[in-house]
Amino acid sequence: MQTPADTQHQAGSLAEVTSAQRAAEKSGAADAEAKAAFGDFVEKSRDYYAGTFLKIQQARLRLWHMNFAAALGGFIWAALRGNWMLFWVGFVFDMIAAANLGLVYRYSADKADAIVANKEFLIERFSNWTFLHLIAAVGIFIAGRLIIGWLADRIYYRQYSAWRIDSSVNSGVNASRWIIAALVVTLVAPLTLYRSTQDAPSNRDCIKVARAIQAGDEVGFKSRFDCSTISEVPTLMWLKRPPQYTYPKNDDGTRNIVLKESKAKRPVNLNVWLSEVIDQKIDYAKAFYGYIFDGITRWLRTLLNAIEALFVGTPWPVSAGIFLLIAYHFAGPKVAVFTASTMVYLGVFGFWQTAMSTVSIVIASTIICVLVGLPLGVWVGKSRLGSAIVTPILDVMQTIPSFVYLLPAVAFFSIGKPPGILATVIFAMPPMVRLTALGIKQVPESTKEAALAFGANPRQLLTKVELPLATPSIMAGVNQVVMMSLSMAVIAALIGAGGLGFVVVDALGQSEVGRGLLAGIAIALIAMAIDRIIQQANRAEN
Amino acid sequence: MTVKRYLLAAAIAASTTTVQAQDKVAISDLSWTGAKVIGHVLSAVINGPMGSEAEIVNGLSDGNIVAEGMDKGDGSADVYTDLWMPNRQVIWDKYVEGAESVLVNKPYPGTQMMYVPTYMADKVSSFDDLAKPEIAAMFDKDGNGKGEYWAGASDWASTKMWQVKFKSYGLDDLWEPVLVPQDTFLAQLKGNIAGEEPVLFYYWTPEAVHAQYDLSSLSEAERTDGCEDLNLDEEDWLESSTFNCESKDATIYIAFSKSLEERNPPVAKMLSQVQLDPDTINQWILEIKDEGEDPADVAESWVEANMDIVKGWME
Repeated sequence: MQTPADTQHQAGSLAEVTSAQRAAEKSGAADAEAKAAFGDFVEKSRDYYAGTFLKIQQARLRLWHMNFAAALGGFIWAALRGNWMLFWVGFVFDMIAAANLGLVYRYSADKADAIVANKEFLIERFSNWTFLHLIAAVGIFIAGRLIIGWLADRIYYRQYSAWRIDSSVNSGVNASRWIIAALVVTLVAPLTLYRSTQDAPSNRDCIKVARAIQAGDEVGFKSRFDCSTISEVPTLMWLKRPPQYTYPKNDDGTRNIVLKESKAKRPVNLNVWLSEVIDQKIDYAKAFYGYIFDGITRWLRTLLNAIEALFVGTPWPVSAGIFLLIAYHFAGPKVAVFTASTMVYLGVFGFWQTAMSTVSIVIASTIICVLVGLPLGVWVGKSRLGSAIVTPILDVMQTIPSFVYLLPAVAFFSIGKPPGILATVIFAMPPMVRLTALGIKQVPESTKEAALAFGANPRQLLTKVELPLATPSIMAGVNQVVMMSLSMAVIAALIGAGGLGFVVVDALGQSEVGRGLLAGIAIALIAMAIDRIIQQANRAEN
Repeated sequence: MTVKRYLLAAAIAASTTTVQAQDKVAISDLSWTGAKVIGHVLSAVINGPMGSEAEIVNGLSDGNIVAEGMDKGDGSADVYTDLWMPNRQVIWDKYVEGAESVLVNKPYPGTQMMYVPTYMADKVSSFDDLAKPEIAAMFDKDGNGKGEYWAGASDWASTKMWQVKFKSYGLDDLWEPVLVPQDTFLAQLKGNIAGEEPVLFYYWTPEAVHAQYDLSSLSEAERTDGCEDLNLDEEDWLESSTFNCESKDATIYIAFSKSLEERNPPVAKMLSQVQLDPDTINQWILEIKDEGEDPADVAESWVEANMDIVKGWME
């Protein structure tokens, strides 16, 4: 269209006029065509939407353009037009406004009660709340309608665009859509509004109601209804408490199982019941399989004692010198300087021995993580089954709050460093497995094929090709393990793992923020120094 | 019904006299059962007959944080339900005597002793028994030649006291303290008792652990003049203190923020007049631990049944 107009421009003024006319005609025809399509889509109020959509198409729509029908009709308008997104936007705003009105009702009733009870402070509080929620109700309602009015044509136009491509997209006006809208509204609105007008019964109130029902007392419909709808999800099962056992030892070392007499009268809910059953199982395992846990504890302690003998036992000038040499040799002068300053910090603030104790636990945890995590990671990397089994377990290990397994660890492994190491291992092992698996998976197929073509057996393939190529990823895993072990230092101190973590716990317990901060910084500095050394060494090697 | 309510309200509003402010009272949620049940009783009194508002703040279990909250007086923490003295000397010195921002009621007495499970009682019944190397060896779990005992959490003053006692009884070479929080220790004790393993630990009365497990206390030397000389604030507290006799009864207070005198005067007055006794607390604890009752139920039914005592606190 542009090119002929351009050539005619040079042909003279008459031609220019005709071309302009023709262009106008042409565009007028195109507009009419578009308007017809718009009209087919909207079915009702054709003129308005045709004009508006044309403006949107030509990017001429004014910034403050509003659809007044949508602003007035709100979600009902959106339902009629079959635009469910706008329906939800409008409905949510109106619901929030309505709930605020409900609150106004509730707090004015509370205020009336307070006046009866002659409680000045409550009267003032409820007056304020009534006023605030009234403002909120009006404000949110108006804001919601303005927003839906503003959004309406813009989003409705998108629906039109989608309809042009796929004619099954909602178009036109269809009152039967109100049935769906009405269904949604009846599902959501009544209970929500009821909740906003009522002081919901507390958990305990409902437990009392449940007990009264069990005892066969008369309970009003309102209490029953409130407790089953607008409070906590009602308790469906009331169970008899599980029997409690003790396991006293005989003189010859065998154990009896003795039923403990229970004085409990009331039934309990599923949560309490299952918690007590789990407690019982833990007791049982401890009584009859305690030797297994004792064995593990002993083994961990031996490992840790050896490492501690090395780190804490070596005089500080010797170990500091060795650390410095290691840092310089593997990671260069910059990191060596940083390591030196870290060690000066530890020395100046008197943290050397405590820090070495923490480092011993970290090293012990890291050794276990690598011993277990590396083979596991190879399995996950090479086998789909392994990945399917291990990945969810790793997710749980990484996300479960550490306090959850801290206390069972104490019950089985007693207080002290061994359960501290175990808790640390649970927390720190996932990255080792994940990064090893990643490294193995990233070995190029062609490289593996080449190795196989040269007659490598599976073992050679693993040890000579895959593991060496995965080393950077594995080292990153080791680095992660060390970092996460250090971050567990404080939590492990809660179960008697000692070290710098204990200084932090102890200081905070006595409100000595400064002391806790200094020890915390010491942990951070150690972590950073080790991180730098491993990273630089890893980089230098590659 | 609402209309009636409004009319009545309007009528009363016309004749109302100014009532003092009554802020919601935040009660601590300390971990031991005694403290918990006292909290529930106070809450039942405040919410019930007093007609004011109180809330036990879930997870407000750190004594130092509670004390700081009471000191600030901003309503984050108002009541410390079970302040053991001299175990919480730091809090006492800082806030009750120092800043005078925390007030206390009339205390009730408690005892503090070393305990073993009763299945160990035929072997260990007094501190003299602890001096036997073969006994200490039974309690040695980490194989370093010293038996372990739980002396308490590291931030309790009683923890230092037990360390002084073990030193003064000459048990240093045979025993070493384990300093872990109470929850951690209780988790271990559960395992120990299930496995009938030897375990030696500090505990006190009134407390729920006695309702849960069969425990025996260790007898100590009788009190004589000068047998207790504690300087726990010194740098060299372990060397400069001696303590080789049984402990005096502890005194246990309900502590509350002085700011309550302005923010909720009736509650402040009630708290200053509360008087508890160990037998009542023991009875509460037994109902909770033995009969599996909810602490809130125990508190509410006690308040209902003992309205005369509660009224005495409120006057």
